[in-house]
Amino acid sequence: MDFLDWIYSFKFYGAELFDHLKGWDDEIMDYNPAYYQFLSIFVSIFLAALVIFICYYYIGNNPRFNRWWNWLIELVLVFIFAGWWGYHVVAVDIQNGAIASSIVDKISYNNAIFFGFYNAILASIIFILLTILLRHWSKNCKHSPCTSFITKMKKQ
Amino acid sequence: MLRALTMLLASGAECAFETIVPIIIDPDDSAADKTRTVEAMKKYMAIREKLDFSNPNLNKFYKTEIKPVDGMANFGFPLNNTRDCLFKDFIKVGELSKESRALVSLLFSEKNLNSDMKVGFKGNPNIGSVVLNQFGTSQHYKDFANGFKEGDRIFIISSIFGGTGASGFPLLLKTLRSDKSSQSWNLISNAKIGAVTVLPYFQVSQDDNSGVDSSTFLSKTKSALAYYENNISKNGSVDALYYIGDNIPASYANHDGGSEQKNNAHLIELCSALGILNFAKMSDSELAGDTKHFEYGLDSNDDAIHSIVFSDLGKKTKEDIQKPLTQLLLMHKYLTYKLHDEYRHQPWAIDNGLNKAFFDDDFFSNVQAFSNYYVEWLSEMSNNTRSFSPFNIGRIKPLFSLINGKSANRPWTIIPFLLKDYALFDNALNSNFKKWNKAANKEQKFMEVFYRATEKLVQQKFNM
Repeated sequence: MDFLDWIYSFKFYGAELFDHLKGWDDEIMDYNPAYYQFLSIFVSIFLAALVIFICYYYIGNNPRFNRWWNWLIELVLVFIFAGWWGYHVVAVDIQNGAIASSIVDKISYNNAIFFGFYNAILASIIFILLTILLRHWSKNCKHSPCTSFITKMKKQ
Repeated sequence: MLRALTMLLASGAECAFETIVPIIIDPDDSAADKTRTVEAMKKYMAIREKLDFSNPNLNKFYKTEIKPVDGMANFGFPLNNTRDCLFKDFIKVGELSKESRALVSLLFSEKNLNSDMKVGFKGNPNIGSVVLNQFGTSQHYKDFANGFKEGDRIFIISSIFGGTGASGFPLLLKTLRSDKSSQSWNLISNAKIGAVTVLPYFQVSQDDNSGVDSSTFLSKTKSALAYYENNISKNGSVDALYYIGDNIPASYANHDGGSEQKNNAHLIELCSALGILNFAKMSDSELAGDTKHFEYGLDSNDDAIHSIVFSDLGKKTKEDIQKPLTQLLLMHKYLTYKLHDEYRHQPWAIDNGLNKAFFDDDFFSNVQAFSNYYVEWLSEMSNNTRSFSPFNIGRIKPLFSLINGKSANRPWTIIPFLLKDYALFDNALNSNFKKWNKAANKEQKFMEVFYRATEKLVQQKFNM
């Protein structure tokens, strides 16, 4: 969990929202593990990035979709999904009043938007890392969006 | 026919000979048919020079070597004193005795005597039989003989209704079997010799100014056949004799020769070339004894069939040519319609270093040029009478409807609507082929990838 805390620690989306998602509970005046949401959010966006990665490189794996802009479309899909999911999780909590009263006044839909954006960036990084590390076995798309470094090394 | 043979060999049709050494005996240096055949063979040689056929390479495109006899430019056997020389000057009529001149006048007409020979003998084998007597004494024959090795075979291609071929065939055969002037005379005289003699399959338009008259083709054929029976078949001087012709003749314009003599390719020529491949496969024991005679027939009940496709050919012919010709055409289509859009993005090109520099280089230019010759040859046959039109040559898509009378398989795939036509081709090219020489040069990799991919595609789509 420390790792996830660290990933989400760049709090431009709001320190209070960070506290809420980490599980702040007014009743115990501390973080309640039962309310910890970073794990489920991260797993969701990681799985989304992974599924889209696998669909592009190994299931679709189409020689007509191996251009850099096809990859960019996939990246945008990851970005949009992760952005929407991050926003959605926070927005639902705001709507349902599931935020601790000590911090609720400092969390708005704007924070949800910023969190969504943060999540989208994170998911994009995951997708890029998956691209760098795992695309080399793709039959038709392994050089999307650019020549695989393994091929470059072999040529040297 | 040599053009047809070159195309078959380029497609990877099986040839039991490792090397073919063509020798063209034709006084007409500027004959367009000869010129383009020589051009095709030169391109073939230039392409093959860069390829490697040792294990584990599987590529069969351009597998059989074609090379000229050392010192024989453009594969041509030059004939002396045929250019700018009338026949009467060749035989030096003016220097003959009165009795000899009388004999000459019995054997040759005035027209014959005043013939110039720079475009050949214009359907006059009586002229050819005199001029071509220079075979055995020429330096080029000696060069050919010196290069002849044990196990080599000879195959003579001639038409029976023309001038050069009709006269040259028996003369050449006699020289090969009886000439003892070369060091290899024993090897040559005992070598296995095959021949194809082509009966009339076309006619030319009537032209009183031309030396060629197709109304004489049949009579010449009958005379020649009688001569062959007594002087070739009966004495066993040839081991295998192939006959081919057509009773539905094509019609060509009447050109004596030169750059205007450019007849469209014909199925007869393709089938004649198959005679060579058939001869190559036969063992020495199968060729032993009396002369073996062969004729060619289609697998069709319709004598008047005008448009022939693969299904009209015999089973053996189909086995020999259907797959390789299809593979080469598939390759042509990809190179023509898709290559320049795709090579920058596809792993088959990127992984093998097949970049812009490679595709701008001479090797690829030769491949593309030869590929265009191939399609031109196919198109000519499809537009001839009888036509041989097994392919939809000009159709770009759907790619796999390229074989007339044969539909492609539609294998089940998870996403069938996405992988089709040239996308399926790229998918095949990008396959992780096993056991191939990844240290080979780029030219070999290029050809190997295309051969394996097209082989995979024809198997998948047509069960070939």
